[in-house]
Amino acid sequence: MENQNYDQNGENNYQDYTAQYASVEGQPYGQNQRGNSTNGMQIASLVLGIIGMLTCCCYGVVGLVLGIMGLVFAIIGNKSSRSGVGVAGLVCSIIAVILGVAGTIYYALIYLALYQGVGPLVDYLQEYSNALQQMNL
Amino acid sequence: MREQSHLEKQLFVIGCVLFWLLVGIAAVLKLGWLDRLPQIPCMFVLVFGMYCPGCGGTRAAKALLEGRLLTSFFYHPVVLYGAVLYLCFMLTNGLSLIGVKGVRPMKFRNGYLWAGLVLIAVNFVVKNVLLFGFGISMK
Repeated sequence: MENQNYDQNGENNYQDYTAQYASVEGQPYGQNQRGNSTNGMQIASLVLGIIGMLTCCCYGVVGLVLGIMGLVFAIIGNKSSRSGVGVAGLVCSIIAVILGVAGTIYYALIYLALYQGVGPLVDYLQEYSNALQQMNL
Repeated sequence: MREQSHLEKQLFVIGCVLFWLLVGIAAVLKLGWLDRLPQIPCMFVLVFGMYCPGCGGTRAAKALLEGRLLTSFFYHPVVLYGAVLYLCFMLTNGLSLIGVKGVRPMKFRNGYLWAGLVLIAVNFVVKNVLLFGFGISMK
């Protein structure tokens, strides 16, 4: 009976057997396996996400831009490894994007109310500007 | 040890990319483009009636660009902290990468991120205590 690990020329085809086995399972052995260590992209996404959340009040656009950058870094970084920092970076970046969009819309409406006198925030702005003067902010 | 230096190299490359973003922000502040925008009340203050954790960040960045380090620290300490950390990291790792001897590249530690978060939290608490406790605003 012919040994399946040796071909007709008598050469060892053990590596071919392993590769075939791995490909049957659907994933080459040792490749495309995500580790658990943190990489630079994940750290950058966390930092950008936190800064994006803090700067969403700066006309909204700054937080939005930083949040999108953080999201891109998180997606790229989480592809190669999985860690708590990566998940936190992804969550913070998503929140930064949401807050950035909300801030941008809010400031656009405030601008319309202040300088054009139109929009849903005209009365709201008058009421709170009075409150702001009282709070001395 | 090999894994750690790979992390520093990744962070260095990301820092080089972010450098251009910082140049853009510096240009906006230095050229006074921000002053041309209408002065609109802060969204967080209007909604919640208190200062947000990032309050003073823009003023801190502007003061830092003008060389007023203490003023920058007063407006928001994390801006000066982040600038010092970024400069130290990029300088030491950049010099080490090009082969300059005698330079010890700065390693990344999770503690740096935690310290930044603590500074943000302290800034938030102190400014609101000054506002509500003593009536001192940040204008």
